[in-house]
Amino acid sequence: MRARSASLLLILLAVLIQTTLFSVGGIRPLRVAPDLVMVVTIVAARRLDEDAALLVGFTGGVLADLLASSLLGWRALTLTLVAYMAIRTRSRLDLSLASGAVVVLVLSLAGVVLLAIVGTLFGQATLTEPDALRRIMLVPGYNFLLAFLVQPLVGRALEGKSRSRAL
Amino acid sequence: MLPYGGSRRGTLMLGVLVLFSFLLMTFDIRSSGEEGFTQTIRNGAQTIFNPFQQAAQAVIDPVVDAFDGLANLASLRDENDRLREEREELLSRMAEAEGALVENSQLRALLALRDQFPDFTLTTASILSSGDSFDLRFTINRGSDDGVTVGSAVVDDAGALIGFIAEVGEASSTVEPIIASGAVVNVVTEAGDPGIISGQGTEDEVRLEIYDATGALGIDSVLRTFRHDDNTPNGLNVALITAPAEINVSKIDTNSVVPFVDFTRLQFVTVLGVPAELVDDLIDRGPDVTLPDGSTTTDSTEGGGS
Repeated sequence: MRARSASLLLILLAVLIQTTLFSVGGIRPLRVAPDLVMVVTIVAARRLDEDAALLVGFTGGVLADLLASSLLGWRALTLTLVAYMAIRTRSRLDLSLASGAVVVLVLSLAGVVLLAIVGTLFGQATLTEPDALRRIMLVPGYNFLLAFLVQPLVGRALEGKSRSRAL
Repeated sequence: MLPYGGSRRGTLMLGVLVLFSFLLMTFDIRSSGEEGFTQTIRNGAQTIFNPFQQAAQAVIDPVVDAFDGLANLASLRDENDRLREEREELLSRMAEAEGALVENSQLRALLALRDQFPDFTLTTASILSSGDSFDLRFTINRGSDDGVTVGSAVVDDAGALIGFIAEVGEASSTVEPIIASGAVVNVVTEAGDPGIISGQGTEDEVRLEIYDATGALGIDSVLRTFRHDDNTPNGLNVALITAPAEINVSKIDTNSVVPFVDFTRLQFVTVLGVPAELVDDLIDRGPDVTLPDGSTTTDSTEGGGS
């Protein structure tokens, strides 16, 4: 129960940071922002039970859609599927911080491609934009770097200090 | 240790959430442009999150300023040498003061816009949030309570066109910038040729199409708004030509055009609104009618005026 509440608080915080720190006029190296909500979803999903993981992805997506004024349900669908992929790729073994970041890199790439495809299908015109490839390449890279910071924080928040560990 | 793989219950929940997401997208698309169910939810969420976003922004702004400073480190090296002795003492104050000065100068410039647009009401706003790299629309902290209406032009502190208000909530609004995919602006060249600027979904390039061009366009030719709509004054700077554009069978079609506004540094914007009394006047007045003696009068029966 504690882990579920903590994960929802984490995803709220991630959405808040995403829509402020990484918004227009914020930190966007090479004019592309990392997707903190996706990173938190992936890292949290690998530590929560299935229901909670899917709800974290969906909640984060809906909130991001609402605050970004984009098509409602677009990121909700994508992040729910990303959370599911994170669950399905859970390892029986503990992973190191670095290999956990690689998991974030791979799932972020899948998530960003999915986001672009769903966006294109629903008229958001993302795959047809000239910058689409650059974004698809850069966002997972940024997420990979963010994962080194996010994993220990999420670990502490969800499992308590004594059980803190990397993915 | 958590199990890997999915249970039947998890798969069922996935199906429900995916279905719900599709329903949300369908509702949102179908109610686009109306004050429907999804817009109500959106307004509610933005109203709830606004105070938190503003509080977060106060914390985050110094971080962003510091990040910008790092990005421009090379150009600041000489100045840094001169200030090195004072740096230890003043570093913490500088971060705060620098942010405040930039904000102050931008706000002063915005106030100067009042002289430039005497026929419009000006509403200054700061950017609250924006989408991710796939979504160039952004939210500002002014809404219908502040007199913002859908379709109003949004300009920067130099009076250059940023975009148009796409959606309005009570305390916030969404701006569709001219660089967004699907955004279109009617413009005119310095030679008087009308054309269309369309967004390409990227911050550093827009597309220009002129169908009856009378002359080629040189580098740094300015494109300005022209007969876009009643909410948009003519003559707003929109974009600049970056490479010579030649005529091809009376048409110019080029992507070597950059927006006038630097979208990477936007913090404050101004919404140009048509005063309500002017709108009412235009509606009440109706079309001009030519009398038999050649003079003109206004048909007050049109538009329900009294």
